[in-house]
Amino acid sequence: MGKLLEIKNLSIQFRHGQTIVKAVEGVHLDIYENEILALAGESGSGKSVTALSITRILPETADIISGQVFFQGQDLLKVSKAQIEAIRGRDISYIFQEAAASLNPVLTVGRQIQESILLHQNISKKEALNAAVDLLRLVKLPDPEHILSSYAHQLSGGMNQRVMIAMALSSRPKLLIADEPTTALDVTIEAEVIRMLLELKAKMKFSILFITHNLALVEKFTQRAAIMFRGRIVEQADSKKIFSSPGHPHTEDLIRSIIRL
Amino acid sequence: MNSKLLSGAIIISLLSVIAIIAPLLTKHNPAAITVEEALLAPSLTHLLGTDQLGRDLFSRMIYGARVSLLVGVISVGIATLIGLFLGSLAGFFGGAPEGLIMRFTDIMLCFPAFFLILSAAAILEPSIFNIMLIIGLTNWMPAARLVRAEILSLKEREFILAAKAMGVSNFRIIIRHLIPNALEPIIVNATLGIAGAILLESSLSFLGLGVQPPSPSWGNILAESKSTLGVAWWLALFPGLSILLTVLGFNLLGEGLREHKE
Amino acid sequence: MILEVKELKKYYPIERGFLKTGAGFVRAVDGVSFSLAEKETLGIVGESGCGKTTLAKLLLKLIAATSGEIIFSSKLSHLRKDAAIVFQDPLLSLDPRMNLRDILLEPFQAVGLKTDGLNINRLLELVGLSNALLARLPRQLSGGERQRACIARALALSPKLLILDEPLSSLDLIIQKQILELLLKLKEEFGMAYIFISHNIAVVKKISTRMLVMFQGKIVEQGATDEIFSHPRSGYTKKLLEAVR
Repeated sequence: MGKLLEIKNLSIQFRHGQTIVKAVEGVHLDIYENEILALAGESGSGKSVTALSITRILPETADIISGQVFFQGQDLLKVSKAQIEAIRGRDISYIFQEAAASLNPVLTVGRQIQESILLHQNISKKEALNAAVDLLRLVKLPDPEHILSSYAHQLSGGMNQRVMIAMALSSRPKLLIADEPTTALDVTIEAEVIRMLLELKAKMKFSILFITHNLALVEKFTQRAAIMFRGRIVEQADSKKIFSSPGHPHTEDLIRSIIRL
Repeated sequence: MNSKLLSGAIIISLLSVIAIIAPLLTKHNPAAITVEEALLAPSLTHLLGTDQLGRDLFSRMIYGARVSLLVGVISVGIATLIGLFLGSLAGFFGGAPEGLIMRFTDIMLCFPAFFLILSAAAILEPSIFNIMLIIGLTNWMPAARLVRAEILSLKEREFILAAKAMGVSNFRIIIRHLIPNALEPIIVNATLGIAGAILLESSLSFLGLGVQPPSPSWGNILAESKSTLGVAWWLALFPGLSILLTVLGFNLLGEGLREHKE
Repeated sequence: MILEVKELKKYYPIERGFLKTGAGFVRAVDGVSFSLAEKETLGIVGESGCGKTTLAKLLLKLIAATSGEIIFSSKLSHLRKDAAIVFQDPLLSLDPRMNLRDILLEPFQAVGLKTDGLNINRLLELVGLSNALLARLPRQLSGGERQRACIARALALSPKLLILDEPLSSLDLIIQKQILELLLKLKEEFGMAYIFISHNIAVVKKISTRMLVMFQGKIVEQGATDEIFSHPRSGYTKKLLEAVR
């Protein structure tokens, strides 16, 4: 397997008035083709900031002070604004925790999927709508036609997240960055959504950067994992190895804190 | 601290200090009539000139500042207290009390406010106290609406539920939890309201229904300047500028507070 | 028994259109019956929208039931004093303008009890908070400290029943474990009854001896925790168990 994305020595800080807070410090991270890599840690450990920096969608108060993000032979932190905008949402797409909040409340779901398809493909509106139906089938939503004409608030959390996944996959990305995608969902739905993501990954051949605070999910669903703590990656290894012989005291703490049956 | 808040605060504190130490700033009695010195242009003895009765405009202006600021602050204080009381009752209890209070508020808002004030001022004896009361009693509606809206959104919050679960009384919940948390927008609203109240007082005094001569107020100085506008420009210019500056100051302060809290 | 619930229902009317005419009901809690023994820990498991939080509010009479009965024993005669609740998100359940000292004083003041620093220090000690934090506002405390503050506040009047509504869900994993251990320790020390509400069936297993499984406002299964885990009868319970295995 080749490397799809390579983060080297990434450091990011936030400006809060006069004070400067280091959010990410010297992070190295490799994502291979067609793998699911977990980026795990507690809130505030820097995992989301790392993920957002990949396509430079950090908030205004954040500065990238060092590092490179190599993707298909170019440093994403150096490419022009037009280039990164072309990559964002096409080669690299995101899904977030609050799916309903990521959807526009006054537009139907269908309209939004259609627009995201038209953004990257040169096809007619009619064709885009058909493609939208196919996408909704792909994410196993029953009765796609009905869902296309619904609004986000009429759908459940799990359905909204499936819609977001459909939109994210509409451009056939090479990397899907999933930032706590199931944290807001019920446990029974959570497992379904992750299993579906894994199936789609196998079928469509993309990589997933799976960001989570939930170590139990890391153990259950991922092959490789990186553990973040206070802005640094303290450990990056096979998930199995991390759980059988954790290499950092914080990882041990995290594993011990899993409440098991 | 943002620049609006800072400039507003400087203007208002400067004006307040001037109003408070007025007697120390001038040796002229604002009510002393010296007919032979009537309508003198600004000079070193009379910094801002004199009016048609020979009274020193500078001393009348700074004593007038007391009236204007006092009327602004007290009348808005009255309006805000009424608004707090009615708004929190309506917001907290809902149901029939809310319907009653808010419909009454709507009715009050239906009257063109200035005519309401004019008719009240025409009936009541014009005095500073009555002016404050009238402005307060006719301007509480926006405050009541604001308070109700704030309370409505606050009372659904979990910490209110937590307080109820502990058996905290309704009265205590309103006083200890709801009002303190609603206070910020209310203070901003009140600060902006002071500017409006000062303008109202000036308008009423200008129409002769406000502060009565010989007590100086910016409004009645302006009113008296009408007859001599052709010869004594200073009698209209300085009170006009003062009103402008004060209103600007309170508006800046209010806007600044609003932005500061965001 | 300190508490017995019979056929409890809470329906919310669905209002539609300008006239707000009833378009049916949301059956948030739909015919729930159970009882709670003294010093028992009852776990209530269910996912979002199953009615477990509504049930907690009903039990504390924070909202009125549509029908049904809640019978309190004499142990809970003064409900506001004898029963307390800890909510999911401590940041939301603390007044943002009150410091820790005022937060801890409030339960005493609410029932008209005089109190002093001694009581407050004892509460802090119970939940493992330093009294250096007393002047802090909720937002100046960490997530774990806030939840400890909420627990301390709930313990203030030595309740006989403590309702814990998803007390771990908003916390970081390591903190979750610490709070769970704190709750187990407090239970051992004071022996009050717990009603522990959670979507996490693993957590409920850790803390409860008896449990209810709720789904769409109804109890689909109820019994001894061990029994339910070894022989789940309802399909929904099986699904819940599968998700965490």
